[in-house]
Amino acid sequence: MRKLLFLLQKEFRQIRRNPFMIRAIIGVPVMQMLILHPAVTFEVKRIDLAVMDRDNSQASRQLVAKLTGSSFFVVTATPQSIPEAESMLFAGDADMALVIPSDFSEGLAGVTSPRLQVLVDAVNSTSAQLGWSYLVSVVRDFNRDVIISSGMSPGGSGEMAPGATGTVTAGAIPGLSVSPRYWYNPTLNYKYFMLPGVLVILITAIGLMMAGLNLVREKEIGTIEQINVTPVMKWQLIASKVIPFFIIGLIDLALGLSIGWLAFNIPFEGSLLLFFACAAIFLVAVLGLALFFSTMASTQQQFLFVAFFFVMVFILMSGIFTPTESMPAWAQQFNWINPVAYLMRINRMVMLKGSGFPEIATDMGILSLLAIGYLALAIRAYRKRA
Amino acid sequence: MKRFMAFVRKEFLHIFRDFRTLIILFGLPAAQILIFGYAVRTDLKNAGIAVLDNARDDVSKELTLKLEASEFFNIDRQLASYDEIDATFKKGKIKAVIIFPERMASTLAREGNATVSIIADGSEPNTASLVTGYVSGIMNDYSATLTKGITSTVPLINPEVRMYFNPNLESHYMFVPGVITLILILISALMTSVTIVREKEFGTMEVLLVSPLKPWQIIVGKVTPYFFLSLVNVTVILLMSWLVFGLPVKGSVALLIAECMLYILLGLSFGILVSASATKMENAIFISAFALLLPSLLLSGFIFPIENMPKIYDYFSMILPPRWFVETIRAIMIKGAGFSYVWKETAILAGMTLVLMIISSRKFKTRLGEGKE
Repeated sequence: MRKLLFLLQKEFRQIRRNPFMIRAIIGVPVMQMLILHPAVTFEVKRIDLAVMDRDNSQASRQLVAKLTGSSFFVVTATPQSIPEAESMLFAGDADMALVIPSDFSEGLAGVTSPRLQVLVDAVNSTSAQLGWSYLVSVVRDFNRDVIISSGMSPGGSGEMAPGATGTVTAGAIPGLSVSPRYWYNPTLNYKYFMLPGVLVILITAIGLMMAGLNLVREKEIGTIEQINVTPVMKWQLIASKVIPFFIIGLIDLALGLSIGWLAFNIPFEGSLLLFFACAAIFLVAVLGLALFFSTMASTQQQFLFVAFFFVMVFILMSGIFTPTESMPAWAQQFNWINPVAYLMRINRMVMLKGSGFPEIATDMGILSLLAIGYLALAIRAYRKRA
Repeated sequence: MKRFMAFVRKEFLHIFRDFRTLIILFGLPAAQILIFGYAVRTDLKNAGIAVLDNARDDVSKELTLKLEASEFFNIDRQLASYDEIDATFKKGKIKAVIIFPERMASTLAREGNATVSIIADGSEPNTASLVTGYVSGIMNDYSATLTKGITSTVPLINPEVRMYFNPNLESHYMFVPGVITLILILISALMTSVTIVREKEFGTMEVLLVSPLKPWQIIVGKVTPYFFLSLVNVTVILLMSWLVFGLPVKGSVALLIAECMLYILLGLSFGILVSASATKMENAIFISAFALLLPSLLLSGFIFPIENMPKIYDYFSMILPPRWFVETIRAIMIKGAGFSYVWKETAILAGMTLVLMIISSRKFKTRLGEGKE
């Protein structure tokens, strides 16, 4: 036991003496929270709209005003022909183009269905869908205003399916209306959604990348051979390398969380204890992986390549940016062994919804199994090599 | 010339002998295509929803059937009371709860209007918006069937939409072109910088310098394999995208390859510049990683659209080559735009390449001449 304490002392000293390490330990959380966090968003904040108003009536101008009044749509161009509008989509000058036909106001005054043509740049399908459904709901509100002001009775109004096949009827048809409410994040603030994810990336970066690089550096320099000939036992050696980064990982998580709270005022609904307990289990899993990968590499560069590959795959598949339910079956099955996927779920549930132990018990349990499994794998691989 | 070819051959052998490098060279593109093509989807499928049916009449039952039948949703459970909602959300499987009001059918018949409530889990904002949108669509379709025979006395505005470039709204149209950007920068910049610095660090650079090879031959020789490997990778990625996803190159393939070559040159120049300044491999890696890789991933518009980020990011990304290249690639591949649309981005990339080449050739001449630092 004393040997372990000595080794730990040596490890911490080495870390302290390495200027790069110190900078990274403080810098990585700060950079992740302040720079990464605002960038990773799929939220659609603004749509550049090209408007071709062939009607130029009071009604059509009111419609455009209503659109721009939402501060979501910004009119960036007024093309004079459809080919011109199309070339704006090509060039990226506009995200959507609205064509108001010349008989628009007549249609509103009479009882025909005035049409609107909308051309959407759908390369980014999410923005396209969200933009289209926002446009439709503004049009429908406008429709209701017209109906109310003309004295007819307003019927129900519903929102539109952002599907893509041709005609979709908007408007005040008597029927079902839909009233949505959003819980846990009523303003649909994307930062709240991403914070748990960014924290997971943070722990993975520290726990896997930095810990692993540290392990391999010793191999590369050659001092590992010197330790191997000492009476130090394998488990003590492994523990001495893993424990420091376990502690650092948890400290950095706390640091990242505090920055998130101070800088973005992010709420934390659930139990901190539960949160850190799960993070601890995750760290064990990730450190186990780092150890395992380190046996496959003899230089830091090699380790970087291998680790980077797996980290990318794990993170992308974890549901951090896109929902896991939308993934094909094989991907969801892969996620059984993906520790990041578990922590993603747990973090989001605990931080944003205040889920308690019963709700995350299965996830926590499986994550623990993974942690033990990866650690065991690593220890076995390590034993054979050195 | 023979000397030069022998040198190039040695470089190729170096690369193929290390399986870890091969993972990055070939495994990573393949994995990325698979993941970005299939797994990372921004659309909605099989979203778990719950129904709180306070009406329990024909209308609500029919609507429930319609929801169940839709490919977007999966009705996970039926709730018995409002109080269960919070607990259900906390369990995490349900994205939204649909609430049918009491006596819905009779309200609908009497007043012509009934309100269905949706409580969506706002912790996933885009999912919540999409769920609301799709549910509303289903409700609306149902409303349309109700009023089929009734002549409408109100004017209904009819917006028709045409989705350009991506009519089926596939998620991967946005991502896959970006994969090319990432892979190219990885191979041409990161690998190049590492290979040159490795020679410096191990001392074999001096061996090369005393050989009859001229300095420029050494550099070109080191860089040539990566140039070819990058092109091979691009071709493989394009083929895979086409065969596996049916993702075509709408525009001119020749133009696409030409732009790729320009970008590869840019990456190579950057790699050479980094290697001229770094003496240890790990430094070279870190510089390349932070200056190129991370920004390529996050700030280039590859995954996350730049226009949704704070303005500062927009300005900062203007000095990042990946941002311009991603736009170019998307325009050519997905939109089918011709050179007239991408000349601006091309000019910027060419300018950056020129600058990098000038700086790196200056630095390299003096450094190499002096030997190891």
